[in-house]
Amino acid sequence: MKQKNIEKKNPFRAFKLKDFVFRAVLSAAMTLAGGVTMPLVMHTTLFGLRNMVASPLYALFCAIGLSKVRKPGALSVIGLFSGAPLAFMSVVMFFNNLVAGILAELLMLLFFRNYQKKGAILFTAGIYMPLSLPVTLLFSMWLNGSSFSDLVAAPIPAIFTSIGTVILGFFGAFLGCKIAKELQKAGKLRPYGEDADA
Amino acid sequence: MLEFFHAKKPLFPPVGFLCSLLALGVGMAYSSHLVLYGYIAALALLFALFGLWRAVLGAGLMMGCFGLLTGVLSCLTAGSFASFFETLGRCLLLGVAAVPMLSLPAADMTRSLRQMKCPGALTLGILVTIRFIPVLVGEVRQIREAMKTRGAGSAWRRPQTIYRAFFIPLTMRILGISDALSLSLETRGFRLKNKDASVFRPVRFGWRDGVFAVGTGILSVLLGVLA
Repeated sequence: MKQKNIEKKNPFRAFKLKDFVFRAVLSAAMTLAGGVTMPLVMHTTLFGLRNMVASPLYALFCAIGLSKVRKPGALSVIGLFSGAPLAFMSVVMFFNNLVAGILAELLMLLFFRNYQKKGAILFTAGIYMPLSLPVTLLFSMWLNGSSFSDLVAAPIPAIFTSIGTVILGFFGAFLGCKIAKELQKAGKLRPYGEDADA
Repeated sequence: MLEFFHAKKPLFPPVGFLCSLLALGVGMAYSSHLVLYGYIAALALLFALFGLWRAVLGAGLMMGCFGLLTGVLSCLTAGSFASFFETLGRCLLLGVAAVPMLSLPAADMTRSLRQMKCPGALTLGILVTIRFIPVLVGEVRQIREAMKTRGAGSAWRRPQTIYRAFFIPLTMRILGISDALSLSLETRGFRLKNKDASVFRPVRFGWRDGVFAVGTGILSVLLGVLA
């Protein structure tokens, strides 16, 4: 309880070893989820469809991760770790994950200041994938050789996929929060690092 | 996972990373020119000469197939053959530019980052992420087997069953693995701020890496001149 109070008072406390390990294993799960969903949609040129498909699973794991490690910077580190295996395949995907994580946390700090409230976790995990859309936009414009004006000329599919990314992102975040709540009740997931060190 | 693509004599990791970035950046800048195909072929040849032929073949084939599909779709939407060749070229470039990174063993990358005084937590996290993907694949298989045993094997269409029988056990396993791993690291004396820690088998920059970097640089300059 003492530890919990200290961390609630100062949310910018340094991360512990177990925080890093937990987020690394969670990032491995996210990468695996991406590896399952990406082949289904990788041949499409429709803007935002890849983000939309990956959105619920990424948000779910992010919400679980943030429910345990409630410290600012947690999502940026998840973005860095989940982007690292992708850097071996494409540097663009690495920056996509990292930049989205940093932007989501900056917005969380702006609106909520820390992860104490459940709403902050839901918000940050929910907007993580939608915030990767701008980077995807630049990348898909280059890959497909289309310009921004081409996209604006026929915006309806892109609008639908973007809205879908947001909706599915928040749905995944909601499920993640629900799983975290159940595991907290069962005493398996303890936020603020309440469980003792080795 | 990526062991098939690893070279027998891997490159110095920062050289691999920078060359990958350079090839992608320069290729992107001149991606609408047909000379891009020459650049991709020259890069592929250079990489193969340095023993990265497996990664060249793998990434080239994979991104070639992907490029053909995307190119056909792009051609149908744009209504010109030029867009087909442009899209195919870009996809091939993506695959070939990734080769220097694809052929790097994750352990070498981590050692190199440690040598560059990168925080231990980050290098550890990156290594754990890469190493635990196959472990989690095994866990997912076990959970699916357990679902079959409990008669929930064909329940993928029922979301509530997936939530209860798949996601909760998976989260439990993630928590269990991370707790056991951090306990194991702590009992072995791993600390986040350990200035005296040494690097096992340090990775060194060699003349081969220098030649590789210069070769990639010359090809990139040539592309700029010819385009």
